[in-house]
Amino acid sequence: MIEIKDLEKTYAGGSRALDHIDLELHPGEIVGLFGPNGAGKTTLMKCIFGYLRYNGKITLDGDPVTRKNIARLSFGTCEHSFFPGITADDHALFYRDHFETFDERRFRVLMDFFGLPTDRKIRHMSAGQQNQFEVIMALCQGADYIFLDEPFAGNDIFNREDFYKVLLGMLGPGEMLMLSTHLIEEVSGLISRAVLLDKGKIIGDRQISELEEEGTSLVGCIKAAYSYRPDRVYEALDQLSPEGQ
Amino acid sequence: MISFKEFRPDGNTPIYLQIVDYVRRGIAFGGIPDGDELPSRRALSVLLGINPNTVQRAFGMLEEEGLISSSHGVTSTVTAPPRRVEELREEFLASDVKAAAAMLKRSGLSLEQAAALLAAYWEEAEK
Amino acid sequence: MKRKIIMSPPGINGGSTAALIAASAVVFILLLSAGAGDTIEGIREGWEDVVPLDSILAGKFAGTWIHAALCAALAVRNYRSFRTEGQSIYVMKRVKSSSEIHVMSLAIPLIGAVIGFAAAIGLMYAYRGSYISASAFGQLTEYNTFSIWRALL
Repeated sequence: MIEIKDLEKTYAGGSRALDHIDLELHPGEIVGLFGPNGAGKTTLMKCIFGYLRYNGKITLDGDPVTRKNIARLSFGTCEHSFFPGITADDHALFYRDHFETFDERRFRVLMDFFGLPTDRKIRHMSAGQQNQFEVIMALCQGADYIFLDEPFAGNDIFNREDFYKVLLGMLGPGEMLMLSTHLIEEVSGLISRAVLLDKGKIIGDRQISELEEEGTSLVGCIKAAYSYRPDRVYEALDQLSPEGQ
Repeated sequence: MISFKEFRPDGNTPIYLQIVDYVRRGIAFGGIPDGDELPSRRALSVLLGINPNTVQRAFGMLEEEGLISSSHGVTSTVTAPPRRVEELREEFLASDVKAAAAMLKRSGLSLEQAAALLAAYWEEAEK
Repeated sequence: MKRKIIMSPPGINGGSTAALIAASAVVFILLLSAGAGDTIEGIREGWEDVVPLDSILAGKFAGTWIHAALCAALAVRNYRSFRTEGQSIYVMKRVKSSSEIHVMSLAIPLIGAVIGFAAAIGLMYAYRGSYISASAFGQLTEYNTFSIWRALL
């Protein structure tokens, strides 16, 4: 279990990216992390890895996250965390040498399934292919806790739906997946839990099964949480139109 | 093996209820025979792109209704003797017809007008 | 499972590393050989006018420092490569050994710099040797002191 207690991250200018976050992540969960841009989704993930300095406590099965256990976490970023100058096969060699849990068979299956070339330098792949490759490496590292940050930007809907199904087929009961995305409706069937972030605070943390009991859709829950006002567009247009002046 | 090819989720009701409904209708209206096997929870989860917990809920509910039974903990089979099928059919018929009656009433039709409309479209209607 | 020791950041163009090293070696050699002619002249004159060896050699080893600066630049480029055109630094931070990134970034530059300085020192001792044997005055101990080390600067 990953336990996050009282996590706080303030940048030098004084802006608070994360404001006293408490969160637990358990094996077997598929967690959707939602929130507008700047809500702190990426910052939260980076703090868990220790890529950013923070105040508060983050533990993995009771221990702090250090080089000794960090290989149990993997991260598919939207910042291209691969080596652009080498091929996918070379990446497999690198991961095999550096991560004992690297799953080469899963790697071959996924590369093949998505039709990605294994002998081309990553920088020569298209943007969509690079995104897919990024996600594949995060899934094959052999981590127990997988974090994907906006993983499907740049991929068409067919690829995305295939990805969701592959994830469902592949993830074992001991694995946790957290993915941050704007595609709420698409992932609503896939996830088991929704965590909503706004201006650095968690404003909602619901089990999908609870929402189903209540009869609320995920989109409905999110709109309510962010106080979405459907008539604000109407009001703005009203002000702009000649009659409104 | 029950095919879920025709399963089309809508965004309104919870997915687990839609799965339960799909199986109940299939049993009631003949698509799914007694003793037929369901896909495993994992297979259905992958097929539909739905979290396995949701599939589990649907299966749990079907088991509670006595419509399926899980043997060996992995696969489930349909348990729907003819009497049960008949019950289900009547349930669906009742609720579908009730809904239609309410809709027709809301449109302001009288019973005779509604019956005439029904007769008019009876021939065209697909089975 | 055999671990390969990777000597440079993955995918960093081996060609540009080699080019950098070749270019600095060329500069190094050119400066030294330009100095060699003067030095031999100086040693002969030193033979007649007692010119101390360190003043003959002064400045002749500038090439070594240029080479060292190029090696340092290579190290900087290697470190930066994990944060440009992609953030492979995130992967490197998950790898068990925290020294991995340093080995990758510093191996070739350090080896280059060591070779550069070793070559300079070797050459310097060679000149010292010729000076001693070529000049009668070179036999005198005041002229073949450790002060020749100043020539490196």
